[in-house]
Amino acid sequence: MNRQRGILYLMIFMGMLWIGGVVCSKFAPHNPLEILLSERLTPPNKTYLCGTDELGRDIFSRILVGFSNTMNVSIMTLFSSFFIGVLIGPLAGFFYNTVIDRLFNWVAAMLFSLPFLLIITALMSLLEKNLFNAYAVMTAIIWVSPARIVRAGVIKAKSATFVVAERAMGKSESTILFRSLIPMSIRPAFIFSFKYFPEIIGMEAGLSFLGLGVQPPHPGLGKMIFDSLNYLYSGWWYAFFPAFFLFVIVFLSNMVYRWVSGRAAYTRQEV
Amino acid sequence: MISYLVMRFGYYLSIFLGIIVFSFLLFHVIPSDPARTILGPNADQAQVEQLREKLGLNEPLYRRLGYYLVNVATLKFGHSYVDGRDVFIEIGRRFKVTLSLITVSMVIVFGYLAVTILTFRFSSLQRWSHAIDFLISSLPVFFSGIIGAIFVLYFYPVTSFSGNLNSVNDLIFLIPPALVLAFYPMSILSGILKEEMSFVLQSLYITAEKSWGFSDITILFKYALKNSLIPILSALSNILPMLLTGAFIVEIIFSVPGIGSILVKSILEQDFPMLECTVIVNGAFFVLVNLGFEYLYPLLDPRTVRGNKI
Repeated sequence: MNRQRGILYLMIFMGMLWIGGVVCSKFAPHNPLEILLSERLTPPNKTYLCGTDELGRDIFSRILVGFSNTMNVSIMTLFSSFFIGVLIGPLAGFFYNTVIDRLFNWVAAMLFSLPFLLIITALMSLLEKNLFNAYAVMTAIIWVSPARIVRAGVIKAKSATFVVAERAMGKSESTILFRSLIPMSIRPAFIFSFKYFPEIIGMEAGLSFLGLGVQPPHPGLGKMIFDSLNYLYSGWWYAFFPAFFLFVIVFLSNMVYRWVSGRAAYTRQEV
Repeated sequence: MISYLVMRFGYYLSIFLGIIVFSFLLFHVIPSDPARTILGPNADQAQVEQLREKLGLNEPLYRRLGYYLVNVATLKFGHSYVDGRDVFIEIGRRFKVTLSLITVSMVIVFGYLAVTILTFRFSSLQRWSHAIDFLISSLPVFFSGIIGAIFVLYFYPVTSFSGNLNSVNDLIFLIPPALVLAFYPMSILSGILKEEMSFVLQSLYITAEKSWGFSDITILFKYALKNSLIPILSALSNILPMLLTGAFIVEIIFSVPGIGSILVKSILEQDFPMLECTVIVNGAFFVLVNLGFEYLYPLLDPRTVRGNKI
């Protein structure tokens, strides 16, 4: 598929997820925060499509609102980390094999050597626990992935013949970097970064699961799954539906990525 | 060869030092007053000052970093803020459980990879293998974990874990969480393996071996596998941190008493020495494993040393 169109489709997909989240959370059938102890742990039925939780709150409405939160944070994180990656990655690529590049690689290797969730958790445990901080900390860690991709793109493009020609024509190095190399590597990098979208969603859910994302009583998908663990035996629907919803989002994102990039998760590299 | 090993060692040592400095900054410099955190908001100022003196918080930063490095080198991570247990012993005990969980799931992953290689013998299975890979690569650990946990609750014979890994029951208990944990590496590695194998199988030397009459199984497992191993191993070393992340969540879902459950507990209780030790032990584990892989590559493929890339 043509890249221009691929990016358009990705944007449409994410826009749909985002608008879908906002619209769904407005039209939730019940108030997601309303406690009805008489209805606690009701199995799924016509009034409560996905049943109710231990405080009698409608799980379906909570999923919709939680989904909207997850989408806001994940999409924002994807874009901001991509933006930072586009700023830093090309520098490392342009100064390939110099101190700047080595430093970048070293930082990347250090961040990659710890589980992302652990770093984010450690940072979050010192900060106030809310959605914005979750977003900021995730962005501060995840930018490494897109930066690596853009860096690789710039290194690859640097030895292309047209760059040599531009240099021979007397264009300055910064013009070559900002006018040719970066614009050239942004598009494939954007498509490729989308591969991390399911991971970002999973990480957001993980943060909320550990109680570091959305704060109660507001619903978050991960938090709901964590709370439901005590009721796995008495109410399977409490755990099942939020988890199933996460699965659907991740599955759809993977499908879209596969369709847009037109390749499997891995393609052989010639060494 | 020796210089390759030494350089790699130095590189990973620097990364490990970076992790230690990172955790120092995180837990000792950024919090404005650890002494206040330990004693709580109700303690009076004199007590806080006393503890500051005792913890050496009034010393200059580089000195504190020096003490910190010495403490880490001698494995003194201090005591838990909450119940006073020695943090390193507790984390070590927990880490053993997490490691055995990861080991069991690695066994499952390698079993699955062997089946993937067999699909090259029976090519009608290839399409199924691709579909299965795609499906399990899209399973978030939450979903597969919840399904697995519900299944275990209703049908599985062993639902309790003694925590010391001595009995067979403990191993049997670890199988479902390990399977859930194995899904992601299974799909990624099997995708890479198929891609590499189908490339290697077109080589001339495979044709030559076929014409010499080697059996398909020998060619697949002995000759083709060896040449597709390096990308698998490097992907494995990249997946490992992710595997640990997954392990935290899987452990909480299946209530396995590993690092994951202590992580949640120490976040809730603001138990910083526990968190700090978790960060450093995880970093050490990753650095050691990666170093091991780096030393394994030249044994598997002598070309890695000769190239100018390291």
